[in-house]
Amino acid sequence: MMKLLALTLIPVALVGGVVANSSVLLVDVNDGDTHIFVPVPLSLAQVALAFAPDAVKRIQVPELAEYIPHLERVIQELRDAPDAVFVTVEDGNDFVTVTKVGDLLKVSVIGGRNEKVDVSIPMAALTAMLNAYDAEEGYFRTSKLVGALRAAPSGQLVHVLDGNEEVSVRMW
Amino acid sequence: MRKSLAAAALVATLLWSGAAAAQTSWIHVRVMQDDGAKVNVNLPMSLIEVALDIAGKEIMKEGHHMRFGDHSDVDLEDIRRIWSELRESGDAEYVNAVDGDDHVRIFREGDRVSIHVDDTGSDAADNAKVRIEVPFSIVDVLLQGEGDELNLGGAIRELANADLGSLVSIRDDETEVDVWIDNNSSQN
Repeated sequence: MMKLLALTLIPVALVGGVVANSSVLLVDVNDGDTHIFVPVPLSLAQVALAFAPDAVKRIQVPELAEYIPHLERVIQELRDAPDAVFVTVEDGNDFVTVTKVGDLLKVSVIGGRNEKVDVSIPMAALTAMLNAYDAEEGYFRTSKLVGALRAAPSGQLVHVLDGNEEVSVRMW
Repeated sequence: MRKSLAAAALVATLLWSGAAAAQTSWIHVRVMQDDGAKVNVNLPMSLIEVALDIAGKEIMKEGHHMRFGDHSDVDLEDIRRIWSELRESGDAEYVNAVDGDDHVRIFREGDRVSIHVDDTGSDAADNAKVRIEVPFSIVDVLLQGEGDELNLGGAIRELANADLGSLVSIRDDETEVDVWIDNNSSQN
């Protein structure tokens, strides 16, 4: 009986160990009536993607190959740039800002009717995402793309508020 | 007039926005409309240079050169010759043209060429002013291309070495546009 219990616990312990050491993406959707909360351990997502069909494992974007070096330069320049408010737009009740804070590029959009979008883009993760691109074959490896999110710091990445509906994506 | 202003602002912004500069140089664009709409852009010049490299695939040929004259009656060699003579002259007024309500002046002051366009229509709604300041060294480098090519990339990099200050200022009854370079990351 003890052997059976031990055999049962081993895979649970293995999975638990992977999850415990993994960054977790927390997706929270609330539309007033329904509240969905999905924690996504990145390690498990990567493992799952390893067994996915090729069409899921790879995102073909061959036309991107020639621009990868440029994108790397843009991101590096952004990372090297001092913190600043790059763009502000005010138009009636709409307000948009693009700001660099540390390694985060923050985009904030405020609309008139209780609409708000905040996106924090970790540039380290962007760099890691570009590294997930196979320039010779012209595709992204989705498992590496997911893994790139590990470079994101803990905290909120996306927050969307639209009336009673609210979506939040956080890294934990 | 408004279309002309917009086109002038676009061309000037494109030219100036491609500038490469030391890390501390920032290009600023401010657009204000009388309905309260405002747009402020502050970008490090080094970032603009990289962005221009990417855009260059579409708008430039052979590195940082842009062809001139394909659709123009003006020969670039003539422009180079004229420019060579102009730059030897001191401060002077090159053009002073009045056409109805429009007044165009192109003149040199120190190491800059200034282009002033005023539309002083009787209708206040048509009033407009355009001010463009072009550092001499920028034009020098721009015209250094071979044959019918303009060295646009070199010109905008040269902007980094030019004096900081206002590049473009446009005023009409509805819109104010300013483009300038300085060492501040904000517009305050």
